[in-house]
Amino acid sequence: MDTKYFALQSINMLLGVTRMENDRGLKELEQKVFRSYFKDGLWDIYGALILLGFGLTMVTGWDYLMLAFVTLAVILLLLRRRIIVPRLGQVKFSSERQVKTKRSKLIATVTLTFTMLIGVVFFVLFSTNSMPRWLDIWMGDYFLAVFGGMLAILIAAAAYVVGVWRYYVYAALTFIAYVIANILRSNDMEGVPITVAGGIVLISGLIILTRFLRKYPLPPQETSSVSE
Amino acid sequence: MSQSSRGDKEVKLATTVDRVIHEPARFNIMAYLFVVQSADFTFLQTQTGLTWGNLSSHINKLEATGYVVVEKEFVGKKPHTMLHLTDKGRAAFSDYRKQMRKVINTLPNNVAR
Repeated sequence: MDTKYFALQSINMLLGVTRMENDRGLKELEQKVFRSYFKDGLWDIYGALILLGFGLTMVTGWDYLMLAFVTLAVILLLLRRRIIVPRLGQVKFSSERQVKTKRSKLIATVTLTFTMLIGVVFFVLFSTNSMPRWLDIWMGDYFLAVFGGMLAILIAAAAYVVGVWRYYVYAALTFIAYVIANILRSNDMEGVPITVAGGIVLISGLIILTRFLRKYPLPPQETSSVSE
Repeated sequence: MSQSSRGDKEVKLATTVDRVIHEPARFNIMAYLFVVQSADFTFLQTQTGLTWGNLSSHINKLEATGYVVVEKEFVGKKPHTMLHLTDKGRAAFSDYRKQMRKVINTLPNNVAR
């Protein structure tokens, strides 16, 4: 190959791959790979079903609706691996990423435990009638907003762990929906904003899932030899 | 330094880069394998956008050079291929990046029109 032509090809290629030529570029590439495992929208649908469960149970008063939605959401998550891995393939992340993931999971677990602990403390205080009077009145007035805030913190923690910005939007949406629900309590319409928020997240999740399935169709079966 | 001798230096630097990695498709494969521990064929295909056959031929080349290890296994009754970079491959990719950085640094700021 002519050396001048080779040099030109080098420069040409450099322009295309220059982002990967520094450590930041490679880090971005690794993050892109990690985030690609959350591009399917199934976590969005999962969250939407939980929100719809809460909202529709409040609207209709049918308690079993919550159970039905949660069951559906869990089944969906169990199927997730069967939907994603055949399309995106398998990858083992670097030990650095594994440590990072463990740390993120720890943060998420601590947040979840802390949030649940607060919930349990309130539940015990409420059910044993030992809630301080000022807190009882305050909780009576703002229970939905507080609950929405706790849910929003959990969703934001998930957003932080996986580094997907739209989950922060869902966290904000959830909080706003619960605050509106709190305001509408006196009109017995508290379930409506939560159902609407669940519906918005569901539509978003379904759009993302449809795009994902279109973009990543099932690849042909692997043959037994690389060179085939 | 005269303009022609500087140009010659750039050309010389550019020609010393690893030609196995110096191919966009192979560079992409190496970059993806560099940031993970290991990955399968489907993963590399979806990320790089290469066709199955094209990817196979580039992997064969990288394997022959000793940059990539191909491990074949059976998941149930289905064949499954996992790939990872060898130490030699990781070192070669790092060297390549350093080399290309040098090439960039030797380029003049102003290009004659």
